[in-house]
Formats: sequence, C-alpha cells, structure tokens
Amino acid sequence: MTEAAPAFPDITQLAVPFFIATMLIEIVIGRFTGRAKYETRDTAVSLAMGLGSVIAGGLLAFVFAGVFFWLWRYRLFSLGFSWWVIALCFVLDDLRYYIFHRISHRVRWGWASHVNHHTSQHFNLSTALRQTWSDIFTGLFLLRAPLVLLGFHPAVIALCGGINLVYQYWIHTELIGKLPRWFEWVMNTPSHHRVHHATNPKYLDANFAGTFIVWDKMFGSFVPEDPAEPCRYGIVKNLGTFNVWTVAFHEWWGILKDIARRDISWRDRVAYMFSVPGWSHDGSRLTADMLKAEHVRLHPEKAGTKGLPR
Amino acid sequence: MSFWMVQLISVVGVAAVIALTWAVGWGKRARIASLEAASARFHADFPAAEIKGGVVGKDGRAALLELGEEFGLVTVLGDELVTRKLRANELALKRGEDGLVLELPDPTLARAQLALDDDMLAHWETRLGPYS
Repeated sequence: MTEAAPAFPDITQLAVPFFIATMLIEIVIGRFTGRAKYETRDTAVSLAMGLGSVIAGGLLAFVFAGVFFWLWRYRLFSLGFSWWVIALCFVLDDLRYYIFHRISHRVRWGWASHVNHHTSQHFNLSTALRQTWSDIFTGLFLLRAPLVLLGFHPAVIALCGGINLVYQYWIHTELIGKLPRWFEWVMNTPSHHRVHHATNPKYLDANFAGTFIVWDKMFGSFVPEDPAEPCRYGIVKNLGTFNVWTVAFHEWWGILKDIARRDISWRDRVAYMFSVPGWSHDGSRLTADMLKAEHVRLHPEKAGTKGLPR
Repeated sequence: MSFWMVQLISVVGVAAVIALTWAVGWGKRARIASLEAASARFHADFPAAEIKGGVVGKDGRAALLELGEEFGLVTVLGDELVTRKLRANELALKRGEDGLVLELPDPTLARAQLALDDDMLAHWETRLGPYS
C-alpha cells in the first residue's frame, strides 16, 4: 500500500481571477503609457483558444490519467508527497518542459500543435492564454513518463505542471523591462520570453525555458534581448485570419496537404511530418536555420553573434 | 472557489477584457498609408526582396508589390499587416465591386481585396490575369 494522494488545489483554476485582473490592468496601463498593446479580435482569439484548451484538456484528461496511472504501477520508487519531493519534481518537470518545448519548435509534428501559441503578432498577457487544442495528438505528454516511473505521483506532476503554467503567464508582457540581474540569470523573465516569441532571425528558436532559463544556458539555446533589435512577434508566415479553427489546426492541415502530394517519396512524407518546420522536399520553403543564414548573408558583420551562425 | 464560480468569472472576465480593448480604441483596423509603408513591412519579412513598384488599394487595406517574376501581397489583419510572396499562377483572380479579388490556395490567408483605380486595375489585370 502507498499513501493516498492529497487533494492538491487546481492552480490554473485558482489563477483565473488573477489572469482576468492582470489583463485589465495591463490594458489600462498600456493605453496610458503606450508600453503594451492589444487588438480586440486578436485578444478574442487568444481567449477563445484558452477556453478551448481548457475544454479539450478536460475532455481528454482521462487519456493522461489512464496512461500515467498505468505507468505508476511500474514505478521504481514511491517518493511520496513531502515538500522536497514536490520541489524536486518541479525542477525535473521544468527540464521536461524545456525538452518538450524545444521539440515543439524543432519538429514539425510538435510545431503543428504548438504553433498557435505563437500566431499573435502581439505580445501581451492574453497571448499567454493562446494555448493549443491538440497537444495530445503529438504524444509529447509521454515525456512525463520517466517522472512517473521514477516514483513521482501523477498528482504531484499535475501540481508542478500547473504551477509552471501559471509562472509562464506573467512573462508574456512588454510592460516589464529587465529585472534584477540575479533573477534574469536564473529565471525565465518577460525579457527572455519576448525573444522566444520574436521572429527576428537572431531570435528564432531561442529561450525554450518554462520557469528556469538556466536550461537554455546549459544547452546553448539562450539569446538575450538586444535593445538594438526590437522584437517582431508572430510566426515567420503570419496568419491572415482571426478564424480560431484555422489558428488551431492550420499546421496540421498543412502537414496533411504535404504528405498527400503524389510527386514525393515516402521518405519526403516522413520528413514533412518530423523534420524541422519549414523543411520542403524541393527547398522552396525556409527553415529557421536557413533564415538565420540568409540574414548573415545580408549582414555579414553580424556573423557569429548571439543567435546567428558564423 | 466552486467550479461554477470559476466559470462565471471566466465568462464575465473574458467579456470584460475584450470589451475594454474595444472601448480604449484598440478595435480599429490598420490602414496601409503608402507604398513605402507597405514595402517596409514586406522587407521586414522578405529582406532580400527587390521591390520594383506597386500599388496600395484605395481603402488602404491591401497592397500589391512588383518583385519581378513574383509579386508581394501586404494585407491588413486587425491593427497589423500580413505579407505573402506569390506567383500569378498560384491564385484565382476575380473582379470585385471596386477592384480585384485575389483568392489564394492558403487557408491562413485565403482572400485579399484591392480597391483600385481603372488604370491600376488594368495594369494588375494584365499582370495577374486572366480572371478565373
């Protein structure tokens, strides 16, 4: 017998009033200072995506629960529910988030789900709520399996995931500049996350961290915000619609169209699903690496600077 | 806090946020002020593009840029602009009430409308035509 899981609070549910209040405050401050910007329909899309994500997550929660409680039967240890277990789980789950997030940007199968979070050309607190409806299809939730097998109870992992999600909310803002140096060094901050949402070539595929920016520094994906290069937000090929269904599923549709082509090989079809976003069998599209190389070709003086190749 | 209280706060809160963005004037569409503005935005997305000319729709909601074999499209989405680099054979061209309608094989930007004067209409009809 193992001890029963305590009834942890649903952190994201508790945070809803905080989300609403802070968005209202950001709008008012932004309107008077010009340091934050919203657009009505863009905001409506972000909030609709957020609500849809909650609904999709609720409907499919049994899949996550079923898989993780089945794995729980085969755990190595029973680590319990003490504070240090929760703290350790939070750190390890944040590393898991970094890996998940990096895959979501570097593999089109993951990008198809994650891209919608990046589709706004604005960067404000509502952008944080522009969440995917289709992450279960990627299978990337299985990256949490090692934590379960190690002995972290699924309820502890869910609690840590909720705290991580709420942490990432407040870093989606232009209102906050740079924070104290020690904080910027260890934690993910609005400055670091602005870089992550930017489409400037030097900022592409950078700063994948959830809570601790140290993962990016350890694995070579950290790029600091450069005051000389203001962030341009969105995706490389921005959407020309506010249709939420298009926002939610356009990249999946793109994959389907690509693999349905008759003039390509099976190897190409696999690459269209699992290669980097922007890969194409005839080189007619641009990946992030190609965009960086093109930027360096046009600006050779920037070669080898942070975020750009030599 | 009960489940239903959270739902109520969510619905009322979301409505309040959207209403406030509109109330403070952030519901207005952008307008492409000039060919230079359209070109600058296009260059931000396609820095190597050589823009040889172009036209901005009379209502400022779209612009077409001449790139040589290809052409550039700049359209308004809310208060932002969206760009595409296209070939004439990739789209279906239709005559709209006040100019051209471009139908693109792209669900993320399926349609663009350009309000044009007669001389510009004739030029771009020739460039992009025939009508489908």
